[in-house]
Amino acid sequence: MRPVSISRLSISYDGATVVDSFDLEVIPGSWVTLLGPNGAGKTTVLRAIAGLVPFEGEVRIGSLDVGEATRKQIARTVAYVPQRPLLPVGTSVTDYVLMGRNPYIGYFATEKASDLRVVGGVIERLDLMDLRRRDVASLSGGEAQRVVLARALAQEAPLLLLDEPTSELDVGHQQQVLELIDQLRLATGVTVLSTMHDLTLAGQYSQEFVLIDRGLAVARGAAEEVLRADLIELHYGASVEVVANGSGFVVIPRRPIHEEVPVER
Amino acid sequence: MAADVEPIGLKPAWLVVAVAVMLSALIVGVLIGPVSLDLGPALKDLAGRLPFVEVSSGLTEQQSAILWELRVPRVALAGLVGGMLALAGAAYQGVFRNPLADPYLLGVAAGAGLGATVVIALQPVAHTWPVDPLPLAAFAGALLGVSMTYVLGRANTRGRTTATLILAGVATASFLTSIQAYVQQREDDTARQVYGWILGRLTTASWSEVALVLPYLLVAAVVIVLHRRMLDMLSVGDEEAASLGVNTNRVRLLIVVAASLGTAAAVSVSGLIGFVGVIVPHTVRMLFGSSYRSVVPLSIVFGAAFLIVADLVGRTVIAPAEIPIGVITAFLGAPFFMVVLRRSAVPA
Repeated sequence: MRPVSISRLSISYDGATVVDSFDLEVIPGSWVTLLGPNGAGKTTVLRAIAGLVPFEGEVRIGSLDVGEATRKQIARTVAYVPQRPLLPVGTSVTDYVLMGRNPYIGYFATEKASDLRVVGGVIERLDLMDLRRRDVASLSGGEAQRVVLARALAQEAPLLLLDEPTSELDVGHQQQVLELIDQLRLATGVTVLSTMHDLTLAGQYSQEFVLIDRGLAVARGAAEEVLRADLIELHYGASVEVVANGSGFVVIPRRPIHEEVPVER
Repeated sequence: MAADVEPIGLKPAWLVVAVAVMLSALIVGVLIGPVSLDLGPALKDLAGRLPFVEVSSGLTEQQSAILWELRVPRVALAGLVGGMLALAGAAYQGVFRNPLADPYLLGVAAGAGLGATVVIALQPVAHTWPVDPLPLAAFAGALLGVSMTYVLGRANTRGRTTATLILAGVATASFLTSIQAYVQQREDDTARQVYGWILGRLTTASWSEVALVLPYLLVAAVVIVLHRRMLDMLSVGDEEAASLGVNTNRVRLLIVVAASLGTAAAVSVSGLIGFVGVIVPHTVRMLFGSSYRSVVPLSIVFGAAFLIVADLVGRTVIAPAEIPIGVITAFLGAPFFMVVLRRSAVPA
């Protein structure tokens, strides 16, 4: 099992600091969610962990030092699912999932039987058998999200990074995808680090939360420590009510109270 | 128990079909011309040229010379140039993820045009050279064009995207074309010759030109064929490809350099033959799917067949005069370009 350990992670674009001295320890096999308003730096943190942006500080996944590792080493350890994956027209679901095997295939080589076995296993597990010859560009939102997840699983990486995995889905598909991710986490022991806008959904699935605002981690811990009306008001500028519902916490937006203006009759 | 899955790779049958089409084009291209030749004697004559083979073809000495010194090198050169331009088109479309990318995108053609124009304009001096300087100058110009595009496209290092590189190509092409137009206007008694070169021609094809381009084309083709899986990886965009373990900048650079080198070599002997790089790879995609594992090898073979046939049309339709081959490919290619543009304009 490989713990994720991030210390003093700082990232700047054109001199502007986007993430400032961010620390994070993730227990293997858990699901941690980064919360925060738009532009807080959540996605940037994920991209840094996947080695996609230059950063200062240290990102370690088990024995792997992301700052020093090669692309392929990172890709065997971290599977990154972007918010809006590019689904190339004319690519079959099988070929798309097979791309997840790239870190195990030699530069000029093609896939081996073992790679196809992994792809077959993932396709079966995510119930994509009937879709395997379909063009990925023709899939519905929920199907596409499953196919992208399948590609990430084909990487057989112990850490799964999910950037807003449900942002393009309706409520039913949101629930299906998150249930699926949680089942996979429990079955395979994969560690999940996600960002999420929907605080209620996040509150139903994740064990641990980090609230980020303007590049700084401002709160962290279990749901009851982070999903708090005062923190949400302070950092999101939103007026909400937080209610526990048995499986987690529900964040209910509430209209700000205005002085009632009497209407003349 | 894992399910049986198979990737949509290149089916051997497709390659067989492609090679059969190309061989037919080759045979027809060799036999048809002002002096018609028959298949049997022509094949015997070619076989007779192999070491240790003694056959009498029944061709006259003149027919044999037409076959071996004119037709075969011309068809061979058309095949090589067509295969290269189609392959380069497919490669550029892959690395730039732009369905309209073409070998002429990166200033290659404009540079070659400038090199050729300079040589043609200075013809009296050049005549004393031991070898024809035109292909060499076109080749140098093509490489100059590509290099300029890189330097320009690289200037803004952090924000460099495929769009930056394409814009740099457009700027380079305009700049080199303006110098070329200047040289052409100054020496306007050679303008007709320059014009003929720019329209593309294979009329002077000989074995020496085949030998000149062959090494470059082989290197380019081998590099690109070896990268066919990487071209598929690039289709998900740079960031995702990188997250899947691809060193995108290195892959892109290798493929673009190989494609540009091959294009420069092809252009240097054939002049500017446009649209092959758009027509052929797109036709291959429509027929055999869009995985580069099929598109790359099939584009080479069908590109060769296409240009052999286009050249045949060019030299027979208004015989004994010839239509420049670039005119034929443009005549077919421009409408095709519009079809591709319309299809790719549909939101994904």
